[in-house]
Amino acid sequence: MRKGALTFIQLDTALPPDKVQSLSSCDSKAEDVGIELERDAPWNTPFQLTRRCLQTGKLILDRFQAHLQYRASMTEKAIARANLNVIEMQFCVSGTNEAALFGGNTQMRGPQDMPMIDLECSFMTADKGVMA
Amino acid sequence: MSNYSVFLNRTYILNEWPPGRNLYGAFLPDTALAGMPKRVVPIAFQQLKHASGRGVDAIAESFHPLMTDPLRFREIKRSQGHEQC
Repeated sequence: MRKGALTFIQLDTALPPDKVQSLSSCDSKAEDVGIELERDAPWNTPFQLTRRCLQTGKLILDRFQAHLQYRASMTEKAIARANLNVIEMQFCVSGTNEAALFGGNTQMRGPQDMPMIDLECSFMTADKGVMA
Repeated sequence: MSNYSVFLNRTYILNEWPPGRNLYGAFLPDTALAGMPKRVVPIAFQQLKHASGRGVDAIAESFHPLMTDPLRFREIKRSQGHEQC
């Protein structure tokens, strides 16, 4: 990346047809960070998720909002594929999720929580979604 | 769930990010440090919290100068009373 360059990425799964919303969000997450998404509902049902990212050479700023329940996991396989060298710091604005970080303790996270995630370690999170 | 995130380059944290006391008590996980002494990231959380009501553009405005201007980072850090580890 060019020094000083600022890259902007926006994703809104409401834009594609319902049948491919889940797939488009899955592709986006997998391409960015290797995270694998799972849902109880069929993949061809609507799934609303929005992301807005700004990226410089040293950091990525991301606003992420999911409106329906889903699970996300970072497996050893995904870690190897993504080859990430980043630490994620989150600030939760609304909604809750249950997360198992660093291969062990499960924690509930909600508004005002500020978890940190090492994206070179496997983890799982069950997001309950939030209404805008 | 709705959240804001900052993804920081691990090498940048280890080599360039100044150590300091974390205002919110959230330390980097041990696994992120690969055996190095624990460091904390004081400014990132504070900036995230302050900017979260104004959108990702506001967060970028807060962070981008800090990434490109270490002097400004130190000035903000001093003004917020962060102590060195």
